Amino acid sequence: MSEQQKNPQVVYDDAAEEAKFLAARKAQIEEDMQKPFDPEAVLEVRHLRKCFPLKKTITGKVTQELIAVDDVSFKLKAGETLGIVGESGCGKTTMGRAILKLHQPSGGQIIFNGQDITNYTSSQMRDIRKEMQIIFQDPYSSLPPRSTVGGILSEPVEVHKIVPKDQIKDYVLDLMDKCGLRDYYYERYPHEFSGGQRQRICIARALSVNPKLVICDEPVSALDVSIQAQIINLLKKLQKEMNLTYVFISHDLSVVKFISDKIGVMYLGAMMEFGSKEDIFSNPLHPYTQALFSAIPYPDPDVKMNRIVLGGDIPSPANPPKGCRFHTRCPYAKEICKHVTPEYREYEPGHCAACHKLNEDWEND
Amino acid sequence: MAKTENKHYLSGKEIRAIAKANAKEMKRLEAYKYRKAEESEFLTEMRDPNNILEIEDLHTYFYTEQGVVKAVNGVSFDVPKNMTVGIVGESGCGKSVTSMSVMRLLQGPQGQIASGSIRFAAKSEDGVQKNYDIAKMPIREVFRIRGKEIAMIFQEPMTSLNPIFTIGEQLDEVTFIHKPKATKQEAKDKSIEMLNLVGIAMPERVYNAYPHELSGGMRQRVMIAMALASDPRLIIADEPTTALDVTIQAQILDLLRDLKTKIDGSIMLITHDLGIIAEMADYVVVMYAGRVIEKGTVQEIFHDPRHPYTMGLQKSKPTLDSDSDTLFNIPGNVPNPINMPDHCYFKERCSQCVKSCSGEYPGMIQVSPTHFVACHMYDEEAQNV
Repeated sequence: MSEQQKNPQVVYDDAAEEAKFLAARKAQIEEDMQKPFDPEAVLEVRHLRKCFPLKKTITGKVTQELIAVDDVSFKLKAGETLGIVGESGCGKTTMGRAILKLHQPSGGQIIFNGQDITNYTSSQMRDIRKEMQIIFQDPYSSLPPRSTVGGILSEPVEVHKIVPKDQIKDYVLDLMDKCGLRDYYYERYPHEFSGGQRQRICIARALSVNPKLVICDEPVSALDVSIQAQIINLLKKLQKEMNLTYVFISHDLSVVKFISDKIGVMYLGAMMEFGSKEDIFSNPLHPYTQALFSAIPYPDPDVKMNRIVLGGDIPSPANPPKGCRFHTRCPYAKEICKHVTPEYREYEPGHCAACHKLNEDWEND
Repeated sequence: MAKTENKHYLSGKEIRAIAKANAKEMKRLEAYKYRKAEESEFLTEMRDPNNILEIEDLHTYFYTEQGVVKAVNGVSFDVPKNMTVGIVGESGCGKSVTSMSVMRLLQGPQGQIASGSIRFAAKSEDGVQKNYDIAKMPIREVFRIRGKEIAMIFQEPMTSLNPIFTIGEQLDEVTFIHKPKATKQEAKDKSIEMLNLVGIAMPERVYNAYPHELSGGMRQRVMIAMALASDPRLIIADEPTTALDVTIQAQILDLLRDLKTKIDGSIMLITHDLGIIAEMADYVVVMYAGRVIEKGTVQEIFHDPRHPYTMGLQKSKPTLDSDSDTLFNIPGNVPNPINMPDHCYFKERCSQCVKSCSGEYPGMIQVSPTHFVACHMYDEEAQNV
C-alpha cells in the first residue's frame, strides 16, 4: 500500500494507448499470417475478426460497426473438442458461423485441413462443405417441415455424391441406426417427433456427408435434462466412431466441461481465456472465468458456494468499454484496466489469457 | 405407413365424439366459472394454520381435439409460511399449469380446473382471517387474490412487459388497481420504492424508461418489482431465470433470497434446474407427467432420493466436479399426455421395475414425516412401518 502511495498517479492518454495497441496488434497479425500452417491441426484460426456494419453513409462507407468477433485464435487437432463458453451476445455463434464461412470473416485466417479457406468463393467452398458441418440450436426450426426424415437425410448424400444412387437408402438407414433413430421413422415428418428425436435427426443430417469438423451451436440448450444426457452421450459416441472434431458452443459450463478437451471463454467478442479442460477448471486465471464458474448453482443443498456475483449487465457490443472489456464488471479492476487493453498471452504452456492482473507489475501499479 | 399402425390416428367418427363430449364438459365448467356466488360458498378452512397455500388433489385438464390432456392429474402439496417450495420437472410435466391454476389464468374454454381444491390463507383484515378456495371461486371474485395476495413472476421478461407503456405507468397501475383511492404521487412513490428494493441503481430514470431500453436482467428486476408492489403473501416465480445468462441468474437468485426475508412471504419457485432448487428451496416437489412423484425437504430429496426418476434426474446432470466418461441417461421420452396408461407413468423408462409396476398407479407412500414418494418399490417398506 505504502509503495503505491509513493508512486505518482500514472496518467493515461486513451487515444495514444489505443493507437499503440492497434499498431502492435497489426504487426503481430502480419507476422502471424506469414507463419507456415500447422500440419497436425484440422482447424487453425488466426486473428479471426467479424464486423457487422451498423451505420453507413450514402456512399456506402461504414461509419459505425459492431465488432462481433475480435481477434480470436486457436488450433484444433483431429478428434479433439473445443468448448466455447460465454454469455449471450459474446460472439460465440458468430464465430462458429464465420469458421464455416456462413459469415464472410472481416479479417484473419481460417486454415482447414492445410488450406487457407478465408477467401474461397462459394463454388470453391462447396467441396469443403462436406468436410465441415453444423448442428443448430433449435431443432424445431432447423428441419424443413415438408420433407420426410428420409428426404432430409438423403439430400446431402445425393448432392455430395457420397454413395452411388442405388445405395442411398441403405446408407441413410444405417446412419439412422447409428444415431438412435428407428428405421420406420424414414417416412415420417419432423413435426411428429419430440425435441430430442429432432436433434438426433439434425445430428444425422450433419454426419451424413462424413465430415471431419462439426460445429455444434448449443445443441442441447433447448432440451430437457434427461434428453440432454442422451444427446451428449450420442455426440461422444459418434466422435469416437468417426474421429470427429467438434467445436461445441454452449453457455452451460457443466456440459462444456463434460464434452470438451479444450475450452475457450469469450466475452464481448474477444477470447478471454483459452486452455485445456484441466487447466481451465483447476486453475482459472481470468476473473471472468472465475466468476462464471462460481455463478453455476450446485445441486447439493449443503454446499454453500463462495459466490463472486458480478454486478451490472454485459455492455453493448456496439460500444464496448475502452481498455479491458471486462473492467466495468471486474471485481479487481484498477486504473490501468480502464485505459490499456490487456495482451492475450500464454501464461502456462497451452493456457492463454488476457488480463492485467496476471502480469508481474500488477501489484506495483 | 398404414393408418391403423399409427396409434395417434383418429377416425372422423372418433373426433366428432370427442368434440361432442368436450363441448358438453367445457360448457358445464365454463358456467361454473362464470356463476355468481356468495362469499360463503368459497370460504374454507386450512388443514394446517401454518400453511399459506394447500393444493389438494388438483386436476387441470385441457379439452383438445385429440382427447383430454390431463396436464395436472391429482397434484397435492402445501406451501408453508415463509418457506420456499421448489417445483421441479421436465417440460410438459405440468409445473406451469399448476401455477396457472393457482392464479386462475388458464386459457379458457379448453383449459379448466376439473376438480380439486386450492386453499389459500388470505391476509387477515380487521382481525378476520379468511381462507379462500381458489378452485371454487367464480372468476369475477379472483381479483381479491390475484396480483394482490399472490403475485407471479413470469419466465420471459421480454414478452411480459407491455412495450408501449413506460415502466412507471405499468408499475403505478398495480397500485391503482389494488388501492383505488391512491393518488398519482403515492403510486409513484411506491413504484420507486419497489424499484429501489429490487436493486435498480437509478429508479427515477428506469421509471420513465420503456421496456426496450432495459436489458434482460433489468426487465426481470422490474417484473419482480411489479410483483412486489401489492405486498403479496405468496410469490409464484415461474422459471424466473431461464431466459437469463448465468451471471445475471446469480444476481436474480440473490435478490429473490433477500426479498423473501424482507417481505415476510412465501415463494413457489418453478424451475427445471436442480442446482437452483438446491440453492433456493426449503421443500421440493418433483413432478412427472402431471403427477407429483416425490416431495420432501430439500435435504431429503438431494441426499436420500427415493424415486428412480429423481435419482436419474440428479445423475444425468453433468456437474463441474464429475469425472465420468459417459453421462447417466434416462432412456426414452415423456409419454404422450393423451391416453395415459393406467400403470405407473414412468414404468417404460424405469430401470428398477418390480412386479406390481404393471398394476395400478402407485399411491403416495410416506417415508418420513415430510418425505413422500409414489413408487411401488416402497410398498412393503410402508407396510413394515
